[in-house]
This record gives sequence, structure tokens and C-alpha cells, in this order.
Amino acid sequence: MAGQFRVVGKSVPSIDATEKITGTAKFAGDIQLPGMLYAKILGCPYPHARIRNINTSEAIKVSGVHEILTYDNCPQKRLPRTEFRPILMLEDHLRFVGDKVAVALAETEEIAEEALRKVKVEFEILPPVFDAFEASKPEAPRLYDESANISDPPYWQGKPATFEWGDWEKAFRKADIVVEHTFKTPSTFHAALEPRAVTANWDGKELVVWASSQAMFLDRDLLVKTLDLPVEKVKVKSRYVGGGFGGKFEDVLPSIAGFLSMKTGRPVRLVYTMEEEFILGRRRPSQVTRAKLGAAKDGTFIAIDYESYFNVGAEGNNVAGSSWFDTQVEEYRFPNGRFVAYDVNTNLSTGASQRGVHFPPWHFAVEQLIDDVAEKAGIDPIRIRTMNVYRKGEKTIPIGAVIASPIAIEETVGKAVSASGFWGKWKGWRTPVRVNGSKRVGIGVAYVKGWTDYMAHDSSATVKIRPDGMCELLVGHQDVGTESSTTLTQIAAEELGISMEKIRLISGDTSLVPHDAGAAGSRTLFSCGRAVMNAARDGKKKLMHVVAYKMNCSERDVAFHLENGKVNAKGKELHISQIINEPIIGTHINNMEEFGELLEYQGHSSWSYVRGGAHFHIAEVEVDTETGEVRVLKYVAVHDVGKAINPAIVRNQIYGGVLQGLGYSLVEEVIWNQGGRCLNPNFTDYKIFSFEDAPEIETIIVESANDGDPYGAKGIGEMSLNPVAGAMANAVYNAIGVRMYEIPMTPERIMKALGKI
Amino acid sequence: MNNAEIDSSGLGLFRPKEYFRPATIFEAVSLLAKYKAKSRIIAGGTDVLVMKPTECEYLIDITRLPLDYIETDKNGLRMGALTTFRSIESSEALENGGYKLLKEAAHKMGSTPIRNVATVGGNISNALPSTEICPALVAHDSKVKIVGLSREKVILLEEFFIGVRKTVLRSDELLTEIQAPKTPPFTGTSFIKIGRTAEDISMVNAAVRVTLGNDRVCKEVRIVLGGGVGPTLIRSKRAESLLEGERVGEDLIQKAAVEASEGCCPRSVSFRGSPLYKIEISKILVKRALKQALERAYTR
Amino acid sequence: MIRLSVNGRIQELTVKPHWTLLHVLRDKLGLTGTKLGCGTGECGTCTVLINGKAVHSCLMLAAQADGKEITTIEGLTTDGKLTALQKSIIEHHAFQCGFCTPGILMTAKALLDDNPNPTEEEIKSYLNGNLCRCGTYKYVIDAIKDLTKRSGGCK
Repeated sequence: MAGQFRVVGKSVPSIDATEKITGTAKFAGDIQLPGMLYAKILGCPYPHARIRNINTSEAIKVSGVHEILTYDNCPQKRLPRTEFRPILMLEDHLRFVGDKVAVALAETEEIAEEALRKVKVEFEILPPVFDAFEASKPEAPRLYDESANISDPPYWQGKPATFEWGDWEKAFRKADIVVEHTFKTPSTFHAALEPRAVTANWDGKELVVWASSQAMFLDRDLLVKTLDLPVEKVKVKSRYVGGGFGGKFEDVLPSIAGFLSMKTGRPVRLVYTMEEEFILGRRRPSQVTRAKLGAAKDGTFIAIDYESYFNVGAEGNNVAGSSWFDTQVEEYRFPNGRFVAYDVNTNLSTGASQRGVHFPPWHFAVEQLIDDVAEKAGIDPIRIRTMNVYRKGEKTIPIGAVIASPIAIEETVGKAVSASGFWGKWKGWRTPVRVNGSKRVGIGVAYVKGWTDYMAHDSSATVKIRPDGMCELLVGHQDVGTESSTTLTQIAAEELGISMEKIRLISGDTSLVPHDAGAAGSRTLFSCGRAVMNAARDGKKKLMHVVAYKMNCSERDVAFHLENGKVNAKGKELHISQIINEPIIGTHINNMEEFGELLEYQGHSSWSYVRGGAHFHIAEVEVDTETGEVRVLKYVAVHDVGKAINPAIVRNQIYGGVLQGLGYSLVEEVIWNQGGRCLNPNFTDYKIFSFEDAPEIETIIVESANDGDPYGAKGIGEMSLNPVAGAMANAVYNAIGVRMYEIPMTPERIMKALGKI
Repeated sequence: MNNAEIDSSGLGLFRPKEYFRPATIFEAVSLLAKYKAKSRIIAGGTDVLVMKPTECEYLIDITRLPLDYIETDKNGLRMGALTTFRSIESSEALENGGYKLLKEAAHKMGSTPIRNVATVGGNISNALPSTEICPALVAHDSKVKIVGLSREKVILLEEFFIGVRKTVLRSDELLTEIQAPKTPPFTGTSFIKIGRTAEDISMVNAAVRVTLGNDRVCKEVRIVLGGGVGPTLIRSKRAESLLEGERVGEDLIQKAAVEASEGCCPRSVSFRGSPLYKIEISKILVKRALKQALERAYTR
Repeated sequence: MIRLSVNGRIQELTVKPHWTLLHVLRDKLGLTGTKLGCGTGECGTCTVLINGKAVHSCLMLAAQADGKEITTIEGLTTDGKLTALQKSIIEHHAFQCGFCTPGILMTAKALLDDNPNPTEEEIKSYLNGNLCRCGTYKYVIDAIKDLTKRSGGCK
């Protein structure tokens, strides 16, 4: 394969390198405009309350204050969003500690803070509910007047989302092996280092908003509808974002800043402190899951039953929580089964999808159930998986989608096993790898069948071939740290036959680029990459037409050497400027038909073709049974990405996902007190892995290409996080012989499991 | 349904009126005497700027004072209150003078940029139970010099702490120097800290010093626990007395560790670890620190 | 009123007692390369050099910077030429979103100025106060190790 492509497949340097390492890359909070005003938010001290009266008369008198925004003087628009329940910009019904009560706008942040201290609020305190199970009961305090707290479709009927197939009850009765456990997974913060920021500027003619956002077109649409502005008058800019991980979607902040800027005619900046980012931002929904797996005595899976309560907090809905059943059934072959999900609103901060959505908790549960079955069947943990996964060409149960990608499980597993020395270390069930005094070493595995086609149809790209020999690539997609700026440019360069230096990327501005769903769901290369690829091909085709027409020859006699800006027609070499005076514009808008049909099953839809890869992790851990500390000795992550457009960037995505997964497995947990106040909204009390914590992580790329698609590339962003908690829990079980049903596996939980405390 | 009012005007902001940068200890202490509880001393700033104390009206920056020194001689150690953690962790004088324990403990505090500016005097005065350097200093029988307008006194560091962020320091007094006696020969030390990640506030830490006499009998032991084991650090004199005068083996180590852990009184509610866990870990850390300190004492 | 040298240029400005150095750098001097992340000295995105030492600028009063020499990320390059460290970071692809990168570069520069030949353990320990959520640690370490190997310890 090496040498087949010029640019694709090479770890070319990032096109944003200079900006990022010189500090000249401007993030949303770096924008400075003359006459800028600053906004600060007043948070509610109660977990559930209604505003009876809010008096801003003293606050507005503070010198330097321009506006105080409250629920009764903000736009009264309640707009639908994908992941969240519709709410007003500011509500009088407050649903968690920290919820927005008022916004002050002033000449400086300090004056705004001082003004907020003069706002007088009379609250009616309402009874709160924090636990998802309690909140799901019909008699629980309601967070939304119009419905019960269960936010699953069909919306607001008060019922969970369900998905059933086969005859699972009968299947469990007939199964030779049945294992069942209850699993608990925590809320975690996305913890991007950049707290979200918005700068908005209304100059009388148009509204420009710089936002740290993962989906600028969604922001633009919300702004258009909230502020009643025509689309042409709203521009959202989001070129550099300091990490998102799923947390920077569909926020009301751009609308708040935009509204204030329109009201005052001045630029407005609103930046969260990190504490606000944690409290007012987002978090992964916590879950309590009862899961059951049934198998035949040879280890073949027969049935699965998975019932989970998702705590989606004040504003989340099922998209923030459970909705992805169609992908869950693709991970292993389950002939019968039932998924039940309660996505429940509670008086805690808002839950949202975080890298992997609910697959990290799913794998934490399922990989352990699978190992449990394997142990009872007397099979090793590798074989139990290879015998139960789907391979290319199979149709999934029950949706009947065809696995269209090669699932290179043999190669992936083979490389994982080799890199980790698995067979030399695995001594069998309940037998640690080795014991040194109080320290016990264990090894564990997990498998993920990845996905990549989330919102695949919503990407588009434009390629311009200019008379001066330079090309432009315009993409609506956003680079939030995934370095898609570079990989998408590589694809365009490859298709056009030119070097990276000959392409100028234009992105991060809704007024300049075509539509894209945004950075989510590991969709970047598969979705936007194919749009870029096809747009470049379209551009070349159009240029071919023009050359053939102008040179009066057949298209067969036309060749391009766009690196030099040359075209060759009928043996005659010309500079492209001799052919065209305006740029040739190639475009592509993805459409659904490229991906197959949409199949429906019990209200859930799935592409008729399933694309994914095999992803296999092996964790080797050492547990200190005197202190409960878990140390990772070596972690191997093998990922089938189809085609690594830029191997270094793929490697970064694997390494970063594993690190987040290790944090999820060992130390990360959002904690609230009895009154619903978050106790650790800062990096002192919520720990993420640092330089010294990062263990040896070996990242291995496997390439079993999809047919067609951009060079066969498949998604990776979330696949590197999904299996980690499963592999780690299995490794800990191997070390200490006791299963961990709750993460993070803190030293205290380990000690409790060992019966030491 | 009940009602409540919030009037946020009571919630202050960090808005000191004046900033001073005295050049002498006398100037500094005079300012403290003048402004008392309305003033805050700032040196490294790594506590003040996190806490942002709203009652602070006057900031007294003491970084100009001549209190940045580490001196060791035949009488022992004298360390100025403005000595940074970076100076301590990289000090050859401490290494060669028999105070390695202080270097190890200093290294475990915070991160490089924090240690570059944070001062030992500030750390002691803040009296957070999580301090790493204080258990190590107490293990070396350290004293602190406290200066007021009209008086000066030197007291044992272990008597300096009253509770969380509470010390015997009055609002018009300044801690200026830390003193420690000369480390006897045949002394081994060990500092162990447990946190959730490599850089974390101490869940539990243990500082141990063992000095051997003739025949490998334990002449002096200091066992000091810190972290979330109580409102202040805890020196386990009872555990120490089990070992002093004895030839120490596994059994005695275990007994001393149990004794030390039973002296802990952790808070009942903390997300850094339950009381049961902290007590169990204290026992393990003391055991391990004693073993390591003994090994090091033997090899001297 | 304070007087400090920022990237070689003398700046004189009047500051309020509670203003942090970070606030002055970003909002008064327009040097936005240094970032406001956590604001509590945990994440390291605000790291600058004060008289050559790595310091969290969010935890230093502007007033305390009086008379000091401050180097920010903008001051690393002279005449737009990248340093060997910056080039190594690019070669090793040791960044993703780029938000933590200026802070990491400043601390790494201080490390190499202090210790031109650090071991891997020393690199990890020195840089431990710079967090990265995207996940670049191993590659930053490789970039620094590679640099010291190649140049025999010079930065």
C-alpha cells in the first residue's frame, strides 16, 4: 500500500501548526473588538425553584452597567434542539444549582459581577429530585410543566425507550449460561481546557458571533430563529476550538450574546470561568444499568437484556443519553434481546453526549458480562469475542442492516495479542498474571465494533481551482482538535494531484462555507472526507470540460499537472490561466442515497449498510491490594481505521481517547452533595490524567479499507475511548478475583471489593 | 412550597483597596498591626489568588523581605519563610545536611510553576491539613520563629496548628524562619503520599524519621501523618514510643502502624476518601515509610 | 503603577491591586497567546516565564510582576523564526486543539534552560502542571527527548 498515494497516508505536518504553536490561533475568547462589553451570569443557589420576583433596579444603576437580562425581558422563544429540551434563553423555572437567573452586561467583567450582586430575587423553592430512578416515578417533582421527567420518544408520554427483538424471555429460560449484574457509571466532565466563550458583534447590518462550538451551523440556526434575523445577516465563526468532546453543542450562549449585542449596538463577550464551564456546561449522563447476558454452553450468545436509567439532568433528552440502540445491536450477535432506557431529567446540571455517548458505560457492562460467560463456559476471553462478532457481509439482528465494511477482527486481535504478550501472561480465569507481595497483576480485553456514519448525509464541500494555480477547499466541518483541517486538505490535495502548500483551507465561518453537521460521532473523515473527495473530483471534471471545449479536443486528450498550474491538451501545455479567468468550482453535497436506505425498527433508524471496524484493547494492570491503587503497566490499543489519512493524527486520536478512558475508569467522577450542589467543579477536585499519570500506551493502526469512501477511511475519535473501562475492569478482575461493578475504580472501591474496609 | 430571598449584595468580591510591598520585616509587621484582619499577606500568591478572600482590603506583599535562604551548619538548619518549594526540592545544602525528607516532601507539592513561587512560610501559615512539607518538618523537630511588633518567639511547629486554616499566629504576626536541629548520624527518613493522581492534594501522607543507636536499636522515631487524617497533622507519639529503645522488626512496625492509624480522626464526609479508608491507608503508609526509613538508616 | 518588561519591551501601566498578570497580558496588552483556562493554577494554560522561571500567570498579581522580565509565547519566536523546540513539537505532531500548547511550550523551555538533558522521568515531573485533555503527553515527551538527543542538549 505504501507509495500508492502521494499525500494521503502520510503524517504530513498540521496546516495549523504555526498558529497553534506560536499562540496566534484565535479562540473565541481571544477576539478583541473596540467598545466591547462583558457579560456575566448569576446562578441560582437552589436545585429547583421558580422566580416569584426579580428586582434589578439597583443593579442597573451601577455605573458602567448597560443591561440586566432576566426571563421577562429576553426573547420568548422556546426552540427545539437535538440533544436538549427546548428552553427559553432565561427561564423563571430554575432546574439546578447554578442555573441561569440573570445576565449582567457592563463595561468590564468586574462591573458586571458587582451589578449581579445587587440583583434581588424572591424564589419559590420547589422540591428537587436528583436520582434518575426516583425522578422517573410519576409522582416525582416535575422539571417541565408539559411532561413527566422521562425524556424518551414518543416524547413526554412518561415511558422509557424500548427496543425488543426475538423472544428474549424464552431465550433466557433456555440458555445454558445466564449472568446478570447491576452496573453504575458516573457522570464525567468533558473537561476541555478551553472554557466556552462567545463574542458577538451586531453592527446594525449583520450579526457576527465567534463561538467555541462543535456545530456552528446549529448555532447559526438557533440565532436566526431566536433573534428573528434572516440567515444572510448571521455569521458564526468557529475556526479554533479548545476541545469539545461532545460538550459544545447547541448552547444558548451565542443567543444571549447576540441578543445583548443587538440591544446595545456594541460587541459583547461572554466567557465562562472553568467553574461555570463545569456547572453550566455539560457532563456525561450517569447511569445505573441492570444487564443480563444469556449464552449456550459453547459460549454463543443467545440473548441480552439491558435496562438503564440515564441521569440527563436539567435539560438533556434521549439523544444526550441512550439513543443509539441500532448501533448497540451491531456490536455482537444477539439473536434475542431487549434494551430499555429511561432518560430522566433531574435537578442536576445538564447531561449531554460525551465522547462515545453511552458506549463507554455499555462496554463497561457488556465486556464484563461476556468475560463472565466465557469463564463459565471455560473459554478464553479472546475466543468468546471472535466467535460472537459480526463480520463483513452478515446482516445484523434484528434490523437486517448489512455489514458493509470489513471487520478485521483477526488482524486487530492478532496485533493486540502480540503487542501485549497476552498469551504469555494470561494464566486462566481467576489466576493473576503474577503476584509480588501485595501487588497483583492482571490482564483484560475489550472489543468494540466501531461506527462512523453518524449524520453522514449532512456534509458538503467546495473545491475551487483558481486561474493563478492555487486551489481552495471550503468545508463546513469544524476542527475542534481533531485536526480535520489537515486531513481534509490532504484528501483534496490527493485528488487534485497537488501538494498541501497549493491548497488554502477556508473553514470555521458559516457565511463562507457549505453546510456540515459538525464535529461529532466520529464522522469526520467518512462523511466530510467523502464530500471533499467528491467535490475535488467534481472540480476536475468541470475543468476537464472547459479545457476540452476551449482547446477543441476530446476529454481523453486532457491531462492535468495542477501542481505547476499546468494543463496538457492534445499535447500542448498551457498554464491554467490561459484557459480560465474565474475559478472552477467543484461541489458535493452528501445525500442519503450514498449510504444506503434508512431502515426502521421500532422507531429507531439505521443505515441499511453498516460501516465500522474492529477495535481491540488489552490492558495490563497492577493492583496494590494494601492501598487499592491501580497502576496501568501497559495498555495496547489496536484500531482498524480503514485508511489512516494521516497516521500521526490517528495515533493522537487513539492516545487521547485511551487517556480519557483511563480517567473514566480510575479517577473521574462528578460529585454532588445532598442539596444538588456540585462539589468538584474545578481541576483541583476533579482530576484528569497528567504527564505523570499517563502510562505506556501502545497505539497500533490496522487498515482494512471500506469500499470506496474516502480511501476506505473509518471513524476513530470515540472508538479509542469506548472499550477502555471494559478492558480495565476485566484486567482488575483478573488481578484480584473480584468484579468491579462501579467505576471509577478508585482505591477505596477496590479496597471495599477486597473486603479490607 | 417555601419561599426564600436571595440578596446577593452580601456575597463579596475580591477587591482589595491597597497593595503594599514593604522592604523590611518591621514595615511588614507594622502594616499587619495596623490593618489586622482586613489584611492578607501575599508571597507566592498560589493560595490567595485561588481563595480570593473577600474580606481582604489590604494586600501586603512580603516578597521583598530578606527571608529567602537555606543555611545548614553544625547547629542545624535555618530556612527563611520565603524559601520557595523549588529551592527546597533542589537544595544541595538540604541534601548534604541530612534533610532529604524535606526535599522529597517539597517535590510532592503541586507542580513546577506552583513550586517556583509558593513559599514554605506561606504553606505553613495557611495550615491546610493536606500540607506535605509540615509533616516532614515536624519529623525533624522543627521550630518556627514568629515576629510581632514588640515581640519575637520561637515555638515547635507541631504546636503551631490549631485546626483547618487555624494557627496560633495572630493577625499582627509574621512567620519569618523555620529552624531544625542537626540531623543525627544513622538517620533514615521516608515520605510517602497518596493522592488520586500523581498531582493531587494529599489524601494521606506520612513522614517518618528513624535514628538508630548502638546495636541497631531505635534511638529516636518520629511518625507524622498528614492529609485528610484530621484537622491538622498528627504526630503519633504513642506509635513512636512503641519503637524507641527497641530493635525494630516486622511485628513492631505493624504494631506502630496500627497505633498511628488509630490516632487519626478524619472528617466523616469527604469525596477524597471515607474515614475507614483513610485510617486503613495511614496504617499502610506508616508501615511502608518505617520500613524504608529503617533501610536507609542502616545504610548510612 | 507598574513597570515590567514583556518579551523585551518595557510596559508601564496602572493596575488595580486584584488584577492578575494574566488579565493584564491578555486584556490590557492584547497578548492572547497565553490562555485563561481554569484560573486556579491547575491546568497550566496560563504559564509564562518570569525572569526565566515557569509561573502560572493566573496566580500572580500584576502588581507582583513589577520590575520583572516576562516572556510569553509571543516572545519565543524572534523575527518569526520558530525555535528548535517548536519545530520538534510540530515534527512529532505533539498538539491537537492547541489550547494547552503555549503553556506546555513555556514550561518546556524553562525545563530545557534548567536542565538541557532531562530524562523521561524528569520531563514528566517538570511538565506535570500542564494538563492536556486531547492527549498529547507521550508525543511532547518524545519531541523534547528527540531535541536533546539531536542537539546534544541545546535548546
